[in-house]
Amino acid sequence: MERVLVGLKRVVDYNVRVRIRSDGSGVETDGVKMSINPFDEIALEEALRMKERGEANEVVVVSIGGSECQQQLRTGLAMGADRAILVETAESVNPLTGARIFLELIKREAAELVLLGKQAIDDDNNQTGQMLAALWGRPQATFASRIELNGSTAKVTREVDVGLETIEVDLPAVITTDLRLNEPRYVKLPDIMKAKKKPLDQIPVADLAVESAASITAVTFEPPEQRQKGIIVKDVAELVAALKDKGLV
Amino acid sequence: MGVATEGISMTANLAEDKQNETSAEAERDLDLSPAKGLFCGEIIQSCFWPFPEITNEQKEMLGMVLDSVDRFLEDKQENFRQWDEAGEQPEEFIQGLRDLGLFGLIIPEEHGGIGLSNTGYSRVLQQSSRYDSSVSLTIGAHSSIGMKGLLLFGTDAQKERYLPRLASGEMIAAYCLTESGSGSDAASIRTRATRNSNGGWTLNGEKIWITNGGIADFYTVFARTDSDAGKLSAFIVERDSPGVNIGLKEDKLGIRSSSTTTVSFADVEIPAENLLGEEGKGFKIAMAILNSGRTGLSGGAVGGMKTCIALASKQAVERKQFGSSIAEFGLIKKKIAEMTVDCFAAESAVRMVSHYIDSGYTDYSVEAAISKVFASEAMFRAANESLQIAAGNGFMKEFPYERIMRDSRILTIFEGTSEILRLFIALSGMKYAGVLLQELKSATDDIFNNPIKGFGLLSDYAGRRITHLTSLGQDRIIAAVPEILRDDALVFEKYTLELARMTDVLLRRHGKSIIEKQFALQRAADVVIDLFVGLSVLSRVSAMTPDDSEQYQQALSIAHIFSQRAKRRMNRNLRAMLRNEDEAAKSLAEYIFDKQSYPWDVL
Repeated sequence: MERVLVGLKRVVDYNVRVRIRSDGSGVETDGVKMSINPFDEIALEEALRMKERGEANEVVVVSIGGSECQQQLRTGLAMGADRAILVETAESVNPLTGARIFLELIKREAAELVLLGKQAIDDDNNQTGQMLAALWGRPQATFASRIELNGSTAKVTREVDVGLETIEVDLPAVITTDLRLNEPRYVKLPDIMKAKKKPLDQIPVADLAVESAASITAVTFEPPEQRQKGIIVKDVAELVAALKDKGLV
Repeated sequence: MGVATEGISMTANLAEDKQNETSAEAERDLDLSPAKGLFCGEIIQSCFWPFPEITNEQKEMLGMVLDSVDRFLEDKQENFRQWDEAGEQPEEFIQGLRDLGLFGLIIPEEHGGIGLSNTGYSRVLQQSSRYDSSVSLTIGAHSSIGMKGLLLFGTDAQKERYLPRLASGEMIAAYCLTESGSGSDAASIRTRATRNSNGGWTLNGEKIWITNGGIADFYTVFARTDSDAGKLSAFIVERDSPGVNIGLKEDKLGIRSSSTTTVSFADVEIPAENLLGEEGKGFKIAMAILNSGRTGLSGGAVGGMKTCIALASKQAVERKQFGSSIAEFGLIKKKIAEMTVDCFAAESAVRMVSHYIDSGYTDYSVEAAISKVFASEAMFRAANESLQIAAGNGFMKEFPYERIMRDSRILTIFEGTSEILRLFIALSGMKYAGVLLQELKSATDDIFNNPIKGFGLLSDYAGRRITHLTSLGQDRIIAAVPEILRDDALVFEKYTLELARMTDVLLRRHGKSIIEKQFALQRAADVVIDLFVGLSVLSRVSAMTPDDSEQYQQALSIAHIFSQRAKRRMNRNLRAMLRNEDEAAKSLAEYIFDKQSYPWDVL
C-alpha cells in the first residue's frame, strides 16, 4: 500500500507519578516529562515494520495539539517515519473531534491504513479508532496483538476478555494496537540528526474545517484517596467479622 | 579515562605557560578566568550571570538522546551486576553501544557523529552514569580523552581518515599517557619516539592503566621525541600496527567491567602523518585534552549522585525500625539533605564549566579542575552515605550500593588526583593574582621561576595589592540574586575579598617556598572551590522562575544551606591560615615514615 497514517499523542511519560495541579484544573504538566503515548509508539513500530517488509511505501505520523507536540513527532521521525503532520490547536481535543480531524487527513493523504494506539494513557478513552472507522465507513480491528497483511485484507489477532480472536478485515481500515503487538525500537542517535531534515507540516486546525464535537467540560480534578492502612486477620472467622463490622457483607 | 594525571610537573610548568600572561590582560571576556578572578578579589559577574541556558531546539534534541540512552540501559541492571563480577562487558553490549551511536556523541555531523556540545555531552554521561559507571567509562574514555586530541588538534586529513570510523565505533579510542614511573608526574614519561629512515617515527615504551586498552583500535600516545630529555609529542597509533601489544585485563576495585590494560609499543612504526599537533607540544596537548574532558567525568559523578539519592530516599521511606520509617529520623534526613545539596551544587558547577567550554573561553583549566574535585568528592560522599542509610543491606552484593561505592572510588584518583588538582588550582590562581599588576609581572613570575631573586619585590607588591583590593567595592552580585538570598550572596562577596587577602598573606609569609606549602595551598584551593561552586548555585537559582512551588522554594533553600555551610568552611580555612598545627603534623608524619609502623601500644 502507498501510505500508512499513525497517530502519536503527547502524554505525560508513563514513568512519571502524575500529580493534580494545586487549583484542581487538571494534571500538572509543567516541567513534567512528556512522551509518545506508549500504545501509539507500538502502532508506529508496526507501521515501520510494514515498510521494512515492503508492505507500505510511506509512514506518516500525525499529532494534534500545540507546537510542543513537534517533540513527539520528531521522535517518530527519528524512529523511522518519513513525514510528520501537526494539526495545531490550543483546545483540548476529545475523541470525536480527533476522529473527524483524522478523517480529513485520510482524504488529503489518501491513506489506506490508519494505525492508532488502542487508547491514550492520559484519559483512557479508547474511542478515537472506533469513531474514525465509523465516520470513514471502513472496517475496524481493535486491540491488535498480531497483524498480518495479505494484499487487500489484514488478518488481525485481537486481545479480548476470553482470549485471542482472529478476524480478517478489508483494507482500507483502522487498526488499534495493544501492548503485546511488538516491542518498539529505541531511537539511534544519528537518526535524531536525520529526523531534523524530514518534513514536518503544520496545519492549523481551522484549515481542516472540522466541526468541533460538543465538548465535555472537566469541572475539577482530584487525586485518588490515600489508601487506608490495612489490618492482618488471624483466620476466616475474624475476616468475616471484620467485613461485617465495616458493613461490607 | 586513563589513570594518567596532571602532575606536580604541571605546577612547575606554570611559569612556562606564557599564554596565561597575555590572558591576564583580559582584552576580551573569553580570556577571563572567573576562578582566577576570585583570587584577585573579583567576582566577574558576566562569567557567572545569567546562568547558561540551551535553546529549546537543543533541549528537544538532547531529550531524545537521553530517552534513547534510558531505553537502552534501563533494563540491564542485572547485567551490570554480573559484568561487574565477571570484570568484562560482553562484545554484544559494546556492539549495542555502537549501534545506538554512543561513540559519536561529540563528533561533528559531517563525520558521522551527532556533534553534541560539551554541555550536551556531559549531560549524556550523567544519564549513562545513573545506570553504571563502567558504561560511562567505555563511552567517556573514547570521547572525553581517547579521540579528543584528534578533534582539538588533528589536521583535516587526519579527521577525514579517522573520525567517521570513530563515530560509528568501528574504532574505539584510548588515551595513553600514564606509565609505571609517571602517574601524577606526567613530565617523567619514558616512552620514546625516534625518527626513522622512512621519514616517520619508531615508538618504544609501555603505558599502563589504559581505559579501553583492550577494546580500542585508536590510541592517542604521548612520547618523548628524539631524546630521553626531549619534549613530549602526541601520536595516533593504530592497534594493528606491528609491535603494539595489549596486556592482560587489570583486576580492579571498581569500574570492573570497563577494560583497563597496559599497552606497550615495541619498535612500532608510526607514519609521519600520524603526529598529532605540533612536535614538542605534547604536554600542552595532553593537558588540553584532560581539561576539556573533565565535564564528562564530572557529569558522570552528578549522574551517580542522582542514583544514590533515588535509591537511598526510597530505602529510607520503606525501611521501618523502632516502629517508624527511618525517613522520620533526623540523622537520615541530614544525610539525604546533604546529598541533595551536594548534587545540586556539583550539577551547577559542571554546567557552568561546560558553558565556558561551549562559549569559547580560552582559560578554563582551573574551573574545570574545581568542578572535578568537587563533583568527584561529592559523589563518593553520596555513595558512602547512601550505603550507610541502607546499612546491612548496603553492605550486601545483592544491592547496588557497594558497587556504586567501589565504582566511585576511582573518581578522586584518575584524571588528576584531588591532591594534585588542589595544588594546581591554588598555584594557578596565585600566579594569576601575581601578574594582575602589570609592572610587577616579571617579579611575580620570578617567584615561580627563580624564587630567591623574585621575592625581593614582594613587599611592595603586597602593599599595592591591598590597595587594589580595598578599592573594589562590595554589593556587586547581590543585586543579581533573589532578595531572600541577599545575605547568602554577601557571604561570597566577603570571602572573595578574604581569598585575595589570603593570597597576599601566603605570598608574603612563605615567599620562595610557597610551592612547598601544601597545607596552605590546600586551604586556598578549598576556599576557591566553595566560592566558585557557591556562585554557580546562586546564579542557577537566580535564573529560576519564582513561584510558590515547593520545587522552587526548596531550590532557594539549597542555595541557603550551601552558602551558610560554605561560609563556615571558608572561615575555618582562613583561621587555620593563621593558627594551625601544620608543622607538628608534618613532623609526626616524618617520624612515622622513619619507623614505617605505628610505635605505640596500650599494653
